[in-house]
Amino acid sequence: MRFICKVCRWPSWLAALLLAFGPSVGWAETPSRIVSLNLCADELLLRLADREDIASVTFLAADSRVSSVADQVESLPLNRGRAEEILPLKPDLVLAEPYTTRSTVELLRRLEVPILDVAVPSTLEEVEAQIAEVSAALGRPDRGQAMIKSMRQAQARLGPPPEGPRPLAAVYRPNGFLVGPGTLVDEILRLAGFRNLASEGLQNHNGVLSIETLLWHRPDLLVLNSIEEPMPSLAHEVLSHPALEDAFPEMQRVVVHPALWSCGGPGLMEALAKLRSAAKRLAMGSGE
Amino acid sequence: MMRITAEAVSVEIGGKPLLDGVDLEVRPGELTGLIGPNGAGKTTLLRVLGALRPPGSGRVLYDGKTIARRERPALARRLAYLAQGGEAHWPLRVERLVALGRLPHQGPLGRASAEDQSAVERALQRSGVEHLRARTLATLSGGERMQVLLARALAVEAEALLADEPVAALDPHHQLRVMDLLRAEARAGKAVVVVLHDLSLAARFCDQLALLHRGRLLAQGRPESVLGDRELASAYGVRVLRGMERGEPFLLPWERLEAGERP
Amino acid sequence: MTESRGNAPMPAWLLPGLGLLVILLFFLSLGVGTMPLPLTGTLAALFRGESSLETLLLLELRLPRALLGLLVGASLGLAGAAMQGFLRNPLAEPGVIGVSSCAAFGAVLAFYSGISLTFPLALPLGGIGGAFLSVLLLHLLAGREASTLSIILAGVAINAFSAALTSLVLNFAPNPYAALEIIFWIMGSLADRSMEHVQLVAPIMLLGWLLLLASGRGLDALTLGEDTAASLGIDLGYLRLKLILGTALAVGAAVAVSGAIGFVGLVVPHLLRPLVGQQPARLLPASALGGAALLLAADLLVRLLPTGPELKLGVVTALVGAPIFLLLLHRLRREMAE
Repeated sequence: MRFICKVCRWPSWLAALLLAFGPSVGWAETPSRIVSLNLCADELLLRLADREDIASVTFLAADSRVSSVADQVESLPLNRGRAEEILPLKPDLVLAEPYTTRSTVELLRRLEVPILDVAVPSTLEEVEAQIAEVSAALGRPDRGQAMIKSMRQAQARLGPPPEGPRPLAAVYRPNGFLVGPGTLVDEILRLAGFRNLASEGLQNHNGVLSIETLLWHRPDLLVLNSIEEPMPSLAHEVLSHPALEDAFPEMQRVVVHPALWSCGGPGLMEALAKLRSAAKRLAMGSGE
Repeated sequence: MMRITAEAVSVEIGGKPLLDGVDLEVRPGELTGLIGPNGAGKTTLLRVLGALRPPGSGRVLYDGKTIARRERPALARRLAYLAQGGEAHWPLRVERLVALGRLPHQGPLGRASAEDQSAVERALQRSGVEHLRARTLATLSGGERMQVLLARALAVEAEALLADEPVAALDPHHQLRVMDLLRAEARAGKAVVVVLHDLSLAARFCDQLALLHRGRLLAQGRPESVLGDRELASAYGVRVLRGMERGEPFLLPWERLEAGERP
Repeated sequence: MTESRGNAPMPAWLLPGLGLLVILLFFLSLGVGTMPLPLTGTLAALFRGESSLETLLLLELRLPRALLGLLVGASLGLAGAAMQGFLRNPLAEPGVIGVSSCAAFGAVLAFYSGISLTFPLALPLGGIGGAFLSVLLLHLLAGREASTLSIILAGVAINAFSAALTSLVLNFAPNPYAALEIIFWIMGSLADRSMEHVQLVAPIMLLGWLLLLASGRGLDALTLGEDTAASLGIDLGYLRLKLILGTALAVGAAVAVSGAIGFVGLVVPHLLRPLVGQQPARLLPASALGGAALLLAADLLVRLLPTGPELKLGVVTALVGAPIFLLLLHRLRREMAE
């Protein structure tokens, strides 16, 4: 969970830079022993590659609290990014993270294993570029194009956001973290017709916002970016504080599973649809 | 006026007898001395007499009646106990310390009445420690300390007073002073029991002595009958020198007896 | 001990003065937060029966926080004074001797296992159970007239053991955030608590307070040792039961909703003892008020300090308390040497 959050605050220019100066290592036409060291890559891999070509995905891919493909992992070997887990698999393509598992990646690079860095995208444009790049590297460019096309269609079906002033939304995470600019979450909020509280009008909040400060800014919509944990923690207790429930009636509250919009993929459109209908509810509510 | 009667009192700890069938009567108006060598069971007997521990067998009667647990608070108004050693865990000023003796007379909220106030004053005066009222125990000499603790026990204004070695660590002047005070309390009608090591003080001041040895009562009665050579030899294993001063006896432990010489 | 050092009788202004201080700090606590809230206007709106964002902030965020500051502080101060009278040692304090950390362990067990989701009372009951066990254990380990050394050693052992168990439970807890939350349980905080927490623990704490306050006479009598206390009509068995149960209820419930906030029960009785003429019974109500004042003040401080994430309360109380603890230890050693 922390891993995701750290990643989602990366500046978008970094991701863009990485795309522009992407790896120049050549890889096999259709690699057949693919290893992923990164959750976002796991998701694309499981959606775009043939199952028998996948050698291993990360343990996070199997965790339904953060992964949108947990049900597809089944018996695939899981890794935690350690070199001794990866080498015996003799990968012919490794999808890595630009900033983590670096020692493993360096080792693989010295062994001349082809490596593709898959960063966390922060805009839809980057998402499409990434899908295209990864699908090409997997030797399945057509599947990538199909995915992009269906995402575009899904977006088109939703139509434009409701007319009128854009309501203010706050995306609240366990422990009172607020999701800020430079993230896919921010982009989806914008596309759904909202202003993101964390992107405007807030200073010095270093990611954490007390319930009091949150209420003070009177956002129109509270997005709880969390799953319903069956077991309690203090971090999740913040999200069910009675003050939040009283300040945000059903209409002004929406829960979005973090796995939908922390990586590039079709889940983004699901999140967008959810927020768009919340925006419509709000527009109708204020129109009455 | 309270009469305390121990009937066949026995106490055991872990199979080891501390007291074994002790009968003793403590009468009002008398100063009763408990004497005996170390470990004879004097403190245990005093605690049993004070209802601080139940006897293993036998019973203790107060004016002919035993005391149930729920009657213990009422007994606290009639019987005062001065523990051995005696230190205060908190540096209360002397007058507050003495006022603790009034606790049995106060309700659960502990408001001190005018009667409590004057009882404290009387106790301070009787014990001769009025001038120390604003001091704390730790700043006093051993003698002064014992006088203060005695004042605390006097402040209960009980019918009986049990004192465990009140003169043990005192200089001769303070020893005489405390014994005078205890005798005066007895003359005033109280039943007073005191644990003593000093045989001369026991002989001079006490009306009745009880000589304990290994948990048994070796002798009991008037001092001159209890402090015989035979009794002292058998309890303490010593021979004493005796004398008289203005009609009052004194005796001085003089030499140890070898094991074979003890009766 | 010198004559001059604080054995004068309790001044009449002490309890009313402390009470006023608590009331003042309570309203300050209502008025101070990350955002400005016009207190008088909001209170007026509340009395008119209006509801707005301001009244919601006041009722659901500021009020539970201020109430818990008061309740938890009073519980810790009172329990500290009572434990010190009970063990006749000024270093006995729920945090130092491991009662709070055992209570935290009990609460952690009840909370992260999910039992408290279906049965909310399990949370304070877990805390009470932990606290009860530790006081009992301490009583057995250190004995009745416990020496400073045996109290501290027993405390070290109980603290270390219960902290390890707490950590273990948190690491095994199914919620992925649990492992990161040990800092709350060890250092304590009043952030983001709700009226539900107040309702859950307030009656339990009040019951604990009653038991502890009713022990005053007994604690006074214990000043002269157990035999003297018993001779003054104090039923020692009943007194011990009242003290152990009262401490467990007050501290267990406090820790269950605020984590283990240390040193309150040490600092407050230490500062107030000279003002109440060193008398254990009078120290009890004074320490309850003093504890409430100290915790409310500490909680104001953590909200006003410009730290990033809010400072844990135990950090502030330890910064004040640990030096006083060392000072006391030094003084006790000197007195023992004399």
